[in-house]
This record gives sequence, structure tokens and C-alpha cells, in this order.
Amino acid sequence: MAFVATLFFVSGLVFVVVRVLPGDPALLIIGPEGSPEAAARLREALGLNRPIPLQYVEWLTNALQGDLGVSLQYDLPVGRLIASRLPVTLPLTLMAALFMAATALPVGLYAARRHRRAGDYLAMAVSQIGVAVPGFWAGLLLILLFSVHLGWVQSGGFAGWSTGLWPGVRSLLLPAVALGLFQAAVLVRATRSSVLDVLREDYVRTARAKGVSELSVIGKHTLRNALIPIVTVAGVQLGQLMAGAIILESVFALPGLGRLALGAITARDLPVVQGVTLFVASSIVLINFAVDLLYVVLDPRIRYD
Amino acid sequence: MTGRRPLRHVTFVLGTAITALLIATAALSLVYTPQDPLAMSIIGRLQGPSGPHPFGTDQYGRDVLSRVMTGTVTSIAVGVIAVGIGAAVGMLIGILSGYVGGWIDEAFMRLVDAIQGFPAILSALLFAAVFAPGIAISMVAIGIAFVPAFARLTRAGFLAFREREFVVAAKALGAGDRRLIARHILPNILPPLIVQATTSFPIAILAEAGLAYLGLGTQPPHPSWGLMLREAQNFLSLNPWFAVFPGGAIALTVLGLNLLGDGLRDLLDPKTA
Amino acid sequence: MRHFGSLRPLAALALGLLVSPAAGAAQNLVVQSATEPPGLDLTATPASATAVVVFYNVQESLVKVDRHGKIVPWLAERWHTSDNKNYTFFLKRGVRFHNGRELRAADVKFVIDRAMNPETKHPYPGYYAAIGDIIVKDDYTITFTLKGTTANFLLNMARQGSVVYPREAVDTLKSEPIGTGPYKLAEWVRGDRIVLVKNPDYHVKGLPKLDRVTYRFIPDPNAALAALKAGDIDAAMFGLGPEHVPELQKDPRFQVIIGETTNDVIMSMNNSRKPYSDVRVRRAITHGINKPEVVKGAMFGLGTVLGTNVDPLNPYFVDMSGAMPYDPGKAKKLLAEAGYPNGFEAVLRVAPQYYYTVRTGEVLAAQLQKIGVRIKIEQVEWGQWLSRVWKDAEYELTIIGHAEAWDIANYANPKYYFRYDNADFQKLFTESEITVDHKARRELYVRMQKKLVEDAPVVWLYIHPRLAVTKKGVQGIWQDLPLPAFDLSEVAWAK
Repeated sequence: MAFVATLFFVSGLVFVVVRVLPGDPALLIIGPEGSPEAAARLREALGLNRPIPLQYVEWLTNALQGDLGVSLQYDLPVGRLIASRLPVTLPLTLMAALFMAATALPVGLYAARRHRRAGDYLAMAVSQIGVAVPGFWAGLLLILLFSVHLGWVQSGGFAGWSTGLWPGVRSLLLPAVALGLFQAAVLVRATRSSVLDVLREDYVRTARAKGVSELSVIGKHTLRNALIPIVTVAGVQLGQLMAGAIILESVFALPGLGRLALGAITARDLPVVQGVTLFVASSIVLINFAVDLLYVVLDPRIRYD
Repeated sequence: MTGRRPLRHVTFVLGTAITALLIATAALSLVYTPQDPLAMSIIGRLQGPSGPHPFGTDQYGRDVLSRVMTGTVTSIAVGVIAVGIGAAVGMLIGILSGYVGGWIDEAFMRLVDAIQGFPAILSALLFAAVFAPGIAISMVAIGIAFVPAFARLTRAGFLAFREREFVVAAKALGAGDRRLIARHILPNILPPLIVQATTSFPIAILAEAGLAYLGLGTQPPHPSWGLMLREAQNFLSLNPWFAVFPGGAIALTVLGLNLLGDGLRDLLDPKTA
Repeated sequence: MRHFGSLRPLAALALGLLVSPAAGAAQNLVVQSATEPPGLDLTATPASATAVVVFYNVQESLVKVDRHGKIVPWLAERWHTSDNKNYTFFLKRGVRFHNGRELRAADVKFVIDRAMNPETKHPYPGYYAAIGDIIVKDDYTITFTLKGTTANFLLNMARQGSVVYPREAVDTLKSEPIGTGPYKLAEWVRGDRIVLVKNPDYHVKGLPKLDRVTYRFIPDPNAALAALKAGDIDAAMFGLGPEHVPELQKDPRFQVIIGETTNDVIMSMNNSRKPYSDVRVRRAITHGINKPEVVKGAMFGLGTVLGTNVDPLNPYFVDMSGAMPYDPGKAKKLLAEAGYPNGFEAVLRVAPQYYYTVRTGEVLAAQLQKIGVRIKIEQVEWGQWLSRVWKDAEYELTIIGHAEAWDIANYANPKYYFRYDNADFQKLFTESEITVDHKARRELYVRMQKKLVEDAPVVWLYIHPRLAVTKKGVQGIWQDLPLPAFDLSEVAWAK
């Protein structure tokens, strides 16, 4: 129920914002040399002259029946447009998340255990660089290294899944690393900090004093309790990965959802903006729902009234 | 108790020193820069470091050192205020959600979902259209985008701690809500929030440059670190040094803040003793 | 990272297939394009991304502007007029659309009728406003009767909005354009690429030379440069910046093509607003701008300094670039005369969608500072620029490139965003439109250009250069762009 309310709220807000923003879709479609009469006729045909609340109710009615409308600039059903971009954006986000988790969690844990020793400082120095390098630079540098100098992978573009699993994965490798790098660096720091925190708790000290094996200290006592902030950060980051994908889709010339959304906003293509927003907002609600469930699994004391 | 003496805590001292250096640079740039940061000299464009231009020159032959110095004011102000807004609003929402729970939690969390789900570019465009372009607007726009992370982290901390023995005990002893929150729970959940704040800082600096293209934030020819870093990409082959200095400035700032944050955490942590 | 190693031969193989065209093998070209077209219907969008793919490659017009800017017969093998009001075109026989049907005069009538029909929302209705009647004499003969003499009629028939397509394909132009061009649309993988293949029945013998053209959409100029260096694309024709030229010229693998275009970059001043309503202020600003330095600073020396709105590719071009030279002393004097001895503050709106507007603005701001005009730059997103600046003239100063050929007409339109309203100029222009005699028309164009320089309604800065980079061995690419067309019919790899 609350889920629906969130989507309702976001879509309503997006609708109003796109409609009140200066920038006329008809003018953008027909161009500056078109006749004003033709632009007016196009506005009429697109239904832009009717009151905004009425337009919204109409959009909502159709959306509830699964019809997201037709793109103003592409003349294609919005659902089909979004569906055509998902095979790029979903695997890209997933691979970036995987990269982030697979590097950040072990490194963060390692750094915490080697607190104030060489390993810790090294890990922190590397993550320091990761936090300071923006995605668009990371992307370009990766292309220059792996495509231009070494010639190992294509500099950009998407091979498509129809050519097989490996070519598809390969064309997403560099962008996924570039996308996940910054978030991995953030997660390393968050992990280290949370683990350190728990390591200082009385019960961990007690366990250690009692001679419980180090593996058990880490596995049973530390990780479980440290995971709550880590899971929270990771959940937020998953949402941020989707946003960060826009920039890297441009750098790597990938036909993803982010570029679709950006183009749609530039062209004031409201049905597409709405469709993408609905998708992204639902994903975020779902991610956060999953995170809330994980809390209870991790710490049975947590209850929701 | 050695860890509690700030001056002997290396991390804290180093972090404070770097941060102080940056603030001093920002202050100095208001009254002095080696050269006019806006003065162009096309003949001397895109040079590497040299005597008259220790950081080299940009695509219009402007002095990069002077521009990095001037950019300090903007970039640090954006970082501090945007993170400040995000942290303040986010933590308030997180405390209410996590401590009170129930329908308040539900309502706030769905609001936070909505903020996160709303396309940031769209809100930036709206701000740009409605308000006169200025740095203040971009700080607010970026700050809002930070709210969800802080809200969720705070809430998660409260969820984990509100049923913990020492909190329950304090409650049983008659501690008021305010005391429980401020004295017992908040100090314990601060570490992840400090990490979040220091890692949000570079995001804010870079986002400011992104917003400049939409007419928000710093407009050329005025410098900001993020803008310079973006510009430098086009001139990578002509002057690779161009990217190094604004990038280095961002890295140094984040380093200083991280050290400061780590040190602060050690010093404030009730468990370190 | 070890398993990366095993990739190498595979990748090399894949690249080899795309790139090196051995003699006798299929000739393929992979071209970078900055943006994906919103649709492929030239009668529905002015987007240059659409013209890049379709115009002269997939669809063609009765007459064509060739690489030297000359109007030459094309789908019409000749034309005839005795009074400059009635034009009869004789169609080439045996020209077939990609669907196999032969081109007939009725198709031409259908296409131009549709362009004139206000219901169809054509992006350039102005080019057909002068047409009165279209009569199909027989399958290969068609006569256009104009309402009055229109000097640019033939040129207008060569423009991108005048392409001929079969009437049965009118509903699918947006996604599957059909025409008579040297290439057929093979595949459009949305968001990623458009593939054209050779039209084996092309009506010009020996053309096209390529078997396959792939357009890949790479928006980021630095990524495009990297793709070029990595060998993933053969040509970057759009979107590389002038700053990339020096290193590419040094690289033996590439050739850089630099030429002229009709894209006049101007800083317009809102003539209806103070202080720009005062011609002295406008002249002062013009004298305060060092154009060669602007070209150096913003465009790395690429681009021709402009004096008026007529570009060198136009037959009536007069070099006026020295008429209002850089003279800060004179600029200050003029400002003082106009009542601004201490200058004034001004807001300059630029559109970052076009990188050169921002760069040019930065250099201009530094220059005008010296005559006391203190510029504040505001970047405006494209949609807002079109609505606010272009449509509603809500601006003081703005920079943009005007890409249309023969667009001096804008100065005769007082409602255009320049808000330049001068009866003398309007009279000259109207006369030029109905004067067909070349010498007389040229005289009028000279007078118009002089008038514009005198009145300084805008500052003409430079012509945005044509910048294309290809691998060595790619031949036949147009050097200049006398109109925004990217004709690939004669392009081939050197044997």
C-alpha cells in the first residue's frame, strides 16, 4: 500500500515538474524553423493543451492498466523502449554491485583486522584514491588502458546478448568496474569502520579473552553485528549505481536506461520520463524493502511495529 | 587514556592540519592569488608546471594554481553545506523513524524512497528554471540528494540499538527520550555517519560541476575544482598536468576529512579507552 | 587478470573483421555519430542526427547540392524554366525506390504537396511557401508554378526536407525510411547503431563504393577519440573538438579533414532591449571583440572569421571580416557617446549542448571586460534555450551557431530572436528574393551585407569548421559542407 503511495507521489511530482519546466516538446520535435501553427497543432495532437491534472489522471488511468503511453519523440510504446534498455542497465548495475561487494567487503574486513598496521594504511590509501576519482575519469582511463593501449576489449558499445553470454559480459566489464569503483571505495571505508566498531564491543573482547578462535570471533560475533550499517550503505549504493550509470553509459556508448532517461528529459518526452521514473522508484522501494527484511534476519531483536 | 589526548593522536593531528591548510588557502585566495585567475593568455595555453605557473596553465592560458586556490572557496563551501544539509535533515528523519517507529517510520521511509526515486536532473532543472542561478541553490539541490543515505543509516542504527541492553536499562532507570537519543544511542551510531559524510564530500564537489552545465552553481569563467577536472579531460593529450592539480586538491580534501573523521571517532568513541 | 590474456587473439580477430578491408573484400565503414536520431523521417524532424544518416545516403531530392556547393541535376536529369516562375523537371528514367518500384512524377507531387500541407508539421514549411501549383505532365515530367519569382527555389528543392520517398511508405518513414539513395537501411539497433547496406540497383553507375556503413552513437568526444585510436571506428565525423586535432594530425594512422560549413557562430544582441537598441552600443561591442583571438582561444585556430551573415561557400559572399576591426579605443568612445562611459553589466546566455558556445563565451567575457562590458555567463539547457531565448527573446546576449545555408532572411524578420527591425534591410531582402538575374542579385546581396555590418544587429564571429577524422585510406569524404549533408556515396577505401 505504502509502495503504491510512493509511486503515486513520485509520478505526480515528475508529471508536474516536466510540464511546468520551460521547454516545449512540440518546439523541440519540430525545430526552430517549423511553422508556429504546426507546433500548435502538434501540441494539440500530443494533448499538451489540456489542464495538467486532467492529463495526469489520464496517464494514471492508462498506467494502472499497464499502458505507459507512447514516446513523444520516438513514437514507440514506452514499455517497449524501457524493456529494450533493461538488458544493458540491469546486468551493468548488477555487475557493478558484484564488483563492489566482492572487493569492498574482504578489503574492509582485512583493513579493520590490521587496524593501524601497514595493510590497513595501504587499503585506506587505495580507497582514498577511489573516492577521489570521478566515474567519468575512471571510465576514460580504463578505456585508454585496456582498449587503446592493450587492445583487450572494445572501447565501448554493446555487443548484445544475442551474440552470446561472453561477448555481452565483456562489453559491460569496463563500465561495470568504472561504475563500481567509487562505490567500492566508499563501501571499504564503511565496512572497515563498522567492523572496527564491533571489534571494540565488550562481548568481542570477552570472546577473545576467553580464547575463542579468531575465525569464530570474526564470523560469529563481529560480522553479523557489523553487517547492519554495511547492508544499509550497500542498499543506498545500489540506488546510486543506477543514477551513476547515466554518466558511464555515455562514456562507454551503451544503450542503457540512463541515456534513455537523459534524452527524454532533454526532449521533454514526458511518457518516457514517467516510465523510467516508475521503474527506478519501484526498484528503490524494493531494494529498501529487502534491506529492512535483512535487518530482522541479521538482528532478531529488530522489530517493526 | 592516551587515545583521548587530541594532540598526541597522529590521525587527528594530520587531519586537522590538512583541513586547516585548505581553509587557510580558501581565506588567502580571497585577498591574494599569484596571478589573476581569470586572466587569459592564449599563447601560453596548456603548459605544464613552470616557474611562473607552478601548476601550469589551462586551455586559455589561465594560471591553474590561482584557479585551484580560488576554487577552494566554492568547492569546500559546497561540500560542507551540501553535506551539512543532507546530514542534518537525514539524521532528523532517521531519528524520528528509528526511535518512534510505527506509521511515522513508514511515512518517512516512503518519503525518502520518493526523494531517491525522483530523477535528480529533473529537480536540478527545475531549480535552475525557477531560481536565479547561484551557488546556494546548487548546495540545496545536492544536499537534498544526500538526505536518503543519512536518513537510512541513522534509522538503521536506532533500530539496532534501541533494544540493546544498555539502552533498555537506561530507559528503565527513567531516562527521557532526549537523553536516551543524545547520550546513549547517537554516540554509538556516529561512526558510519562520519564515513558517509566524508565520502559524500567529493560527490558534492563533482556534482556541483555537473550542475554548472544546467545553469546552476559556478558559471564559467569562475573556477571550481569539479569544473576544472571535467574540462581537463578534453585536453588530456595536450596537457596531462591540467587534471592532476584539481584532482589532487579533491583527493587531499577527502584525505584530510577522512583522517579528521577517523580521529574524531576515536576520540569521541565511548568504547575506546 | 590472467584470463584477460586469452581474450587478445579473439578481440584482434573481431577487430580485424571490422577494420581492414583487404582488396576485393567487402568494403565496410564504421562511423561515429554523436547522437542517435529521434527518428529517420526528414519531413518530421530538423535533427542533424537524422540528416547525417538519411540525407543523400538513403533519400535524395530532385536536384542536389554537390560537394562544391553547386546545384546539379539528380533525380531530375534536367530542368527548364523560361520565366523563373514555371519550372519543369524531367525525371531520370529507371530510378527505383528501395522497395523495387520505379520513381514517378506523381511521387514527387505527393511529397511536395505533403510538405506544403500545414497538417503534416513539416520542420521547414517556409521553403515551400512560394509554390503555387504542381502539375504532373506525364510519369517523368512535372511542372512547379510559383506564386512569384523565388530565387532560391532550386536550392530549396535540394534541401533535406525535399527528399523523395514512395507514397506507400509514408507511414513508416520514421523507423524504416525508403528512398532512392545509394544505401538502404538494414538495421537500427536503438541506442547503439544504425546499419546501411549498398543499394545494388542504384541509379548512378559505379556508386556507392562501400558495401556497408555502420553509424555508432558515441556521445562523449573523448570516448570517440579513444574508439578511433583503439580501431573500433574508422571515422569520427561529428563531435570531436578542435583541441583533438593537433595530436591526430601528428598520428600517421589518421587523416584530418578540415573544411568550411554554413554554420555561422554569432553572438546576438537583443535589439529590442536597452542598451542594445542603440546602434552605437552594438557597434562598440563589435569593435571590442578580437575575432581572430576568439577563433584561437575557443577553437584552437580552426574556423574562418566572419564579417557578416553570408558565408564563403555562398556565391554572393563578400569578405567583410575587416570592416569592423578590433579597436577597443573606438569601442570605449562609442560606449561613452551612447551614455555608458563606465560600461555596463550584461548577461550572456550560452547553450552547453553546443560546447563552442561556452568556450566562445568565456573568451568574449575576457575581451569585453577590457571595454567595460562586464559579462556574466549563464548556461542554459537546450530545451529552455529554445523556449526562452529563441522563441520568446528573453535574453540580452546569446551565442549560437546558425547552421542553415542562405539564412540571411532572418534579419528581415523583425520577430526573429534578434529583434532586428529595419525597413531598409527588409526592402532589400524582399527585392533580392524576386531578383533572378545573377549580377543584379549579387549587387543586392552586397548592399544587404554592407547594411548589416553598419547596423551590427549581431556580432558575426566565425564559421564553425568542418572537422572529420578518418583512418588513412578512406577517400571521397566531402571536405566542405555547403549544406548540412554527410554524403557517403563516393566514399571508399583506397585499394
